[in-house]
Amino acid sequence: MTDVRIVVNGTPVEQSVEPRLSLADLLRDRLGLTGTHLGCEHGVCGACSVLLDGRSVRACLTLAVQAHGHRVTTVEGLAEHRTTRSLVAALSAAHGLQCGFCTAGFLVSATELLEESDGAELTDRDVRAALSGNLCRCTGYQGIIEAVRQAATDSAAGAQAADGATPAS
Amino acid sequence: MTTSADTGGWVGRSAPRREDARFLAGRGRFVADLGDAATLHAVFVRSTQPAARLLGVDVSLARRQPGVVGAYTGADLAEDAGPLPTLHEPHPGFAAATQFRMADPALPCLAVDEVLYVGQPLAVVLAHSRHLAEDAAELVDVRYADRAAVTDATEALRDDSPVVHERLGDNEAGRIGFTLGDVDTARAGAHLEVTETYRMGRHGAVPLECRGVFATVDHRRERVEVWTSTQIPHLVRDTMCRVTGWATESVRVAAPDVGGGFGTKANVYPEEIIIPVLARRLARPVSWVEDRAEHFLAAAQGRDQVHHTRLAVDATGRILSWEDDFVVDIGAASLWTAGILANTAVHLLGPYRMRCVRVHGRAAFSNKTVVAQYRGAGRPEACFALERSLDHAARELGISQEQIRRRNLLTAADLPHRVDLPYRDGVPIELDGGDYLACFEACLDALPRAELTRLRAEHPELAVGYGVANYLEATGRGPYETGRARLGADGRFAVAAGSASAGQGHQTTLAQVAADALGVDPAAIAVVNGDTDAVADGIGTFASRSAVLAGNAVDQACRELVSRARQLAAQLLGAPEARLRDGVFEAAPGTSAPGDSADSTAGAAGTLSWAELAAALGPRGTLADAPPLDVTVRYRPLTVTWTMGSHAAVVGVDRETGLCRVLLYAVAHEGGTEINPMIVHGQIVGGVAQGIGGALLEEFRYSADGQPLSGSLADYLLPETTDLPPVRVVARHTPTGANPLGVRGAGESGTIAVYAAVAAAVQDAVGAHVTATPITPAQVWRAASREPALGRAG
Amino acid sequence: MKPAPFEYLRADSVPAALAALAEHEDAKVLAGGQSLLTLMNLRLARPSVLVDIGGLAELDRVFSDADDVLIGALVRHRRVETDPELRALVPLAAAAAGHIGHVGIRNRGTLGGTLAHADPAAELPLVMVTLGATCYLESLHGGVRAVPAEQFFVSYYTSALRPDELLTWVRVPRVRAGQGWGFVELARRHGDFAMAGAAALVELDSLGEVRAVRAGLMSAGETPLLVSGPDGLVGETASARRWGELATEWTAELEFSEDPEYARALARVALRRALTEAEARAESTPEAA
Repeated sequence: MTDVRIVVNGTPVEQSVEPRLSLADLLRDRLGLTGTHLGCEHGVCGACSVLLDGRSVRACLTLAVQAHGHRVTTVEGLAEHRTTRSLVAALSAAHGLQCGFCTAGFLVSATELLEESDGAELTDRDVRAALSGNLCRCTGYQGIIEAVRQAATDSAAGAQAADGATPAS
Repeated sequence: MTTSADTGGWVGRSAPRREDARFLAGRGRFVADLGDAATLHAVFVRSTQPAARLLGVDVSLARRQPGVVGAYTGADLAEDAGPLPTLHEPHPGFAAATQFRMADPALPCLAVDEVLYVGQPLAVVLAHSRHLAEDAAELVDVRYADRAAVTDATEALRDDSPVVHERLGDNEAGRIGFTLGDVDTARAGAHLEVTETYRMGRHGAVPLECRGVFATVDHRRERVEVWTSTQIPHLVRDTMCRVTGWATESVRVAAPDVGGGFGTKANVYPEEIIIPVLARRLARPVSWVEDRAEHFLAAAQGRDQVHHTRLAVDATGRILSWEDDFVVDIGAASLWTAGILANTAVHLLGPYRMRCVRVHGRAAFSNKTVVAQYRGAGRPEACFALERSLDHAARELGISQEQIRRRNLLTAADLPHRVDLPYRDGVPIELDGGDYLACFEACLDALPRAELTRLRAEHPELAVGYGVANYLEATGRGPYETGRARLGADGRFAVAAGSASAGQGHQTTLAQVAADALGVDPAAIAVVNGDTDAVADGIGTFASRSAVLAGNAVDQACRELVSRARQLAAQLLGAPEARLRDGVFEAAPGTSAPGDSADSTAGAAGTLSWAELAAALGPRGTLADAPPLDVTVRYRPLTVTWTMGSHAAVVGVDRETGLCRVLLYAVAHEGGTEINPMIVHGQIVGGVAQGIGGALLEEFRYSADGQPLSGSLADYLLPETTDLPPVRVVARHTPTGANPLGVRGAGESGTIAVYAAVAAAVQDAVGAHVTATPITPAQVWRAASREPALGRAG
Repeated sequence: MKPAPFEYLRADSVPAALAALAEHEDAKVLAGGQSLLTLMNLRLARPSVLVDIGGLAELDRVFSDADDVLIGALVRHRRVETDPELRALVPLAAAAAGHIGHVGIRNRGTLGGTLAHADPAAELPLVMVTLGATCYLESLHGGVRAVPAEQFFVSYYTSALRPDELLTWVRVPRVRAGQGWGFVELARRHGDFAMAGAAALVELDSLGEVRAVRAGLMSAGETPLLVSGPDGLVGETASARRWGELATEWTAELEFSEDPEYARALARVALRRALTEAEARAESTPEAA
């Protein structure tokens, strides 16, 4: 057993874990953060995406011991992010979720995209390329893409407003 | 968008979904989220051979591993659960009209003497963690005596084929056939005959959430509670009781949040029986969460059909006769053989004028994974065969895809269109629609050929082609669905139905239906479905049935509740009759006003709210002796509700590599009342996505000796964000009297015609005859390079 | 799909990592884990010991001099893809890195990891061979040895790494004036392993004639293959036709087990397109007169 100390959603956590325990299983089974879902456990579907030191990673391809000394943000902790409220609202408005299983992963990946693009407008192509690592089987992605673009626009408008500039209509 | 004329206008509105909040906050409750530290974790040991006698299954070493609580073979549990029965048999009238026959594979829950497919469960290990159970499962020693595996459905039906189920004697799992009109005479007078063999490769639902079962024993209630990621909790409960002998009251089955089903979870699985058996045996909670590797071996697959077709037309392209002899590979077993055969056979009729038709179909057993109904369930295969044949004839005649379809589509003048054949429910087929030709034109308007000019300019490196296809679809098949409405103590409502949502938003749509009937806001209504505790019996969600069936069941239950409530309200208002207006009861006009026998519960100006009525029905109310307002209804449709639609696809092909991309897509469909247009739209777009996946990317491949080759999401290719085009959807509101709400099912509409439309577009782009899916780059490349016929090698 | 049990050692320095590798014969190095943990989850790989080098910040660094870039083994693909310095100095590597899986994979996967994994269908092994990079392998008992990329890849999933060796640095020639690069990957879907792929470097002189060509292929053999001959087009003016002829010539001897006709056609197309791209870039970044 190995001791790990990880800051999860802003709270320091200490656990004693078997080395083979994945970060996903630590979050879900030890910490009760079941919002992160396991769709494949071989790194393809992206449903298990979380932020590790602010970058999206597959929690199924990360050992808990590898997260020792690092910061993890799960879907449950995304409310801290500036872009989350508009992303969440946009996803619902655009019907960007049906069964909800992939949703957490998309929220994480989209949060990273919105932060990296830092207020820039995003094209359909930009968003599709950035989110190609998240699978959805229900929606055909149309609503998700629309929502992320909308959130990017809202973010740009918000940033302009914060600067005191008149937001584009 | 439609709005019911006499309702509060919730039906027809794209109301935001109630479900969204919890999923967006990461607070969904899927089956893997259930349980606690006391839960035992199960791992199934599965056959590694496609066909073999089981010489021995030794769990003794596994049992001794650290953390293992138990390990069981098929023999150990044979007394606890019998084999799984088929879930569906057609109406006797249909069976007679189609000479329908079906064999009963009766697969045991855990294999005992033999294994019939790679992935078949044959033992189960229980441990304190999934990790320890997997460690121990590797130590289960299984000895096989291999026999020849059957891997081709056509070969399987030959007399000299090895037999999958020895006790059945041959590999015919089912057969169906019908003839309309005089095919031979019609054909004799044809200007042109086209024959071809079409294949649709094996693929399937592959939802993002795999299967799972969590069972726990409630000793106070003396029953086992089973949470399973299913679309059919009541059928799972019924089957479980049947094969175990347990009393119905001793079993609860409920679906938690389900991460997609698409038909593969509208099945009853051995794991769903074994896990509760173990929970009971050990009196401990037991969880089984399927992993993706298992899913590819053991979750029901779909499609896998071959069609031998012959279409005869006159010089203008009018269909004179249509013949199809098809074979379905249903794997080692299917509980839905009847549904798949019947759907395929009937939907070969298409939305066209056809008088002379001869259809013959057989289902064959093979040593491949079990098969269930995957989105479309036979309709896509039928559509592919028919639409490709029309394209073939059009090419030979030198007319366009559009022209041949215009020649044959049923128009307003042709509808309703009677067919001399009963549907699977025994009721004679009568296609009820608006104008199929007009729907087709609407699709062509939504995505006209003219757009190719722009698309070709945007993609000069691609050969860009255009394809169209039409589909016919029976939706909302019975026999019934249950709906329940109950007035709660605070004047709010609990509504329940036998449907089970796996993403279709029933919590929202059924609340909208109820809201209109009850005259209240949907926020005042809590919807529960997918639970045998919520309604005692039901069927479930599949085959595009829930909006029609659960929707109408809930509507009826609410209206019945309103009817009874009005009587009670009248009493309280001191009027002979009361009516419900804008969610409030008042004396019906022309009756005596309150005042004479004024009741303290009547509100100001002689009105009564639902909350006041609820209070009156409470223990201290004036109607305390009246039975509570709790209405359960079984809605039985007369027959299916028909719909049809048209698809148009633009596909870009890189000639040098054969790689294909769908650039643009459109669907026009004859929908009825849409409870929530946003949700219907989402179903169509999602359906198109799965169709594109099946047309271009997805396949469960097997080796010649029956070993599955598609073992992970790296082999089985699901469409990504970058693989799917924008989809334009045109809903052509076509009212129907087939059910009181006027709803037409739409869950499969997006998928059925995709294969044909995409194939036609690829053919248009590179000029070769696509006869099989998935359409692979190598095949397209060959066709683009030189050969005229694509896909004959299958 | 849970991995089999293993012993876990977290290295806090390169010497500590080397000592662990020397001591445990069956040890595997854990860097980003994107390839290794996938195999372990499927129980296709069952190392008894994992040596986690993820904390070795000293290997997550980049240095450059006049000719080369020295990239540490723990530099993540996402950094290679997006870092402005690396994009400027080794644009071929940056472009190729963008094709590796998806963002979440690239945030974790490392240069050392993908090279050590030695998958001939992977992007960066091809790039390193095409660029003529050098891999530095270290061990407790053997010190440091430099292995040219072309010799580093031995066979499918087999590199020149000895069981006790760690790949620590990669020296990559930086892009020169007059040199253009091309990278083409043909895959069923975005981020998939390549059905075929090519990397090319074309150097033009001040007259616009070809001075040097280097090109390699992914998914064309047991290792990434350098297919360019020494004289390909040198001294000639390039043209689409000539690139096509060269591509045909350089793919003629390739052997494929499955559908060789199609596989060779894909290799040829990828190569021709990469060469064409490389030339176009060379033309737009001319050598100083």
